[in-house]
Amino acid sequence: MRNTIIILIISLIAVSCGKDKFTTAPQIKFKSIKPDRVPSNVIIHSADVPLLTIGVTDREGDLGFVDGKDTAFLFIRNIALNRTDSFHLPDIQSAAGKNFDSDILMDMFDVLRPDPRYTNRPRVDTLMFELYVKDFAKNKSNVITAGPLYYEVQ
Amino acid sequence: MKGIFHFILSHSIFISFCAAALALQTLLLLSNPVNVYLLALIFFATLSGYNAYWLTSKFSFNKYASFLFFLQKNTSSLLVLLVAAIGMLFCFTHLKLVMYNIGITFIFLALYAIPLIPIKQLHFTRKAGFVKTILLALAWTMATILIPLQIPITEMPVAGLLIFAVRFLFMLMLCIIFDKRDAAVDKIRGLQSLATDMSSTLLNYFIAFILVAYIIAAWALKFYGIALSHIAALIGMGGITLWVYISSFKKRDYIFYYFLVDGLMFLSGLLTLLVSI
Repeated sequence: MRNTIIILIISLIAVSCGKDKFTTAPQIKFKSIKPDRVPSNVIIHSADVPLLTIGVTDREGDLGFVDGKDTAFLFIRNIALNRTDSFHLPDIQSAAGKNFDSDILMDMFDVLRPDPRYTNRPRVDTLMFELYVKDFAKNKSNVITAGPLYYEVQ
Repeated sequence: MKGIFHFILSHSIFISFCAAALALQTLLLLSNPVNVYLLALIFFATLSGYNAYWLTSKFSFNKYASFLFFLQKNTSSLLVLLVAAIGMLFCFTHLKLVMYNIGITFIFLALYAIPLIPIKQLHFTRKAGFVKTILLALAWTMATILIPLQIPITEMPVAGLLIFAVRFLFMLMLCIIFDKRDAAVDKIRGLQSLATDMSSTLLNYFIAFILVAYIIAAWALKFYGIALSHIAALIGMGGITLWVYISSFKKRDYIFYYFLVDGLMFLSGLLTLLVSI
């Protein structure tokens, strides 16, 4: 959804690494969800909205968004709901390049939903998410699981 | 002060807040996070929809010397419509909506407005009777349930479907109160509604039937995790609506309908918000 904020933080630290770290298909890894507990009546843009952080690497650096030309997407599936949403990454033309290494920060407001399998209230749902990224060339990254995120159903 | 109050009611600003309140109620009852852009979109969409409807209605049923004269006579409505359209566009750019829900709601509203269009070939739709009332109640239900939830009706949980039924029955009762008020004018204009199609006695039985169905649907929410306090608030609203319906038997003024009857929607949302705190 368009009001979801996705930020790419470009890592400027040179990291010694194995040759497989940068591949044509992007590689991602789950880093954190902070805070990992959120009330169901949370309001958009409030400080209580969790922020998901994943690390991404790509050999060509063909990620981000170039208006009218190319778009790279982050796909996120709320596992309990079995619903997948996609969000385009921000414009990072000034920073993108070979051996791209960055963090993606995502405001999770739009993927917050209660687990439909339960009806009792109040309760705390443990939400898990599956994520992957597609670059400009439509190369699909590995699929990772992110979570848990504790959703307080009131 | 009186002028501002009159402006708020006559330009459908209050009823637009009522629509947003019902959308908020939906989000709270189903434990969804509160997206203010969505609520604002519903507010502006209602505002533009109603002002467009009133303008169409005025143009259709009154004689104006020229179109320019019509525009001059309705400047304030046109300005509100313009502001609402800009607001709607702004919210729209901040949301990725399930267009399927918006499309169906728009179709219901368009069908509802067809009898007002000043084209002779479409005048047969003025005999649509109860369909008009059902369409309006359905459009309101779609706009305040499916649009805030942002899911297709086929993916709704059972609690969501029950809330859909509760909302539809609630809106149907409100629509009937308005139909009853408009019955005399509708007959003059050759329009039909539930109130022109049914006798007063039959309409009373019908309202009683709707109220019973409303209470049963609200009570059934108990089995799908909705708190008793929320259910009590919904059932309480049913009682208040019945009282307002009975009050409408006497001749009432414009404030009764546009503040009290429409205000039932706002009150319903407010009660849910209060018991959620």
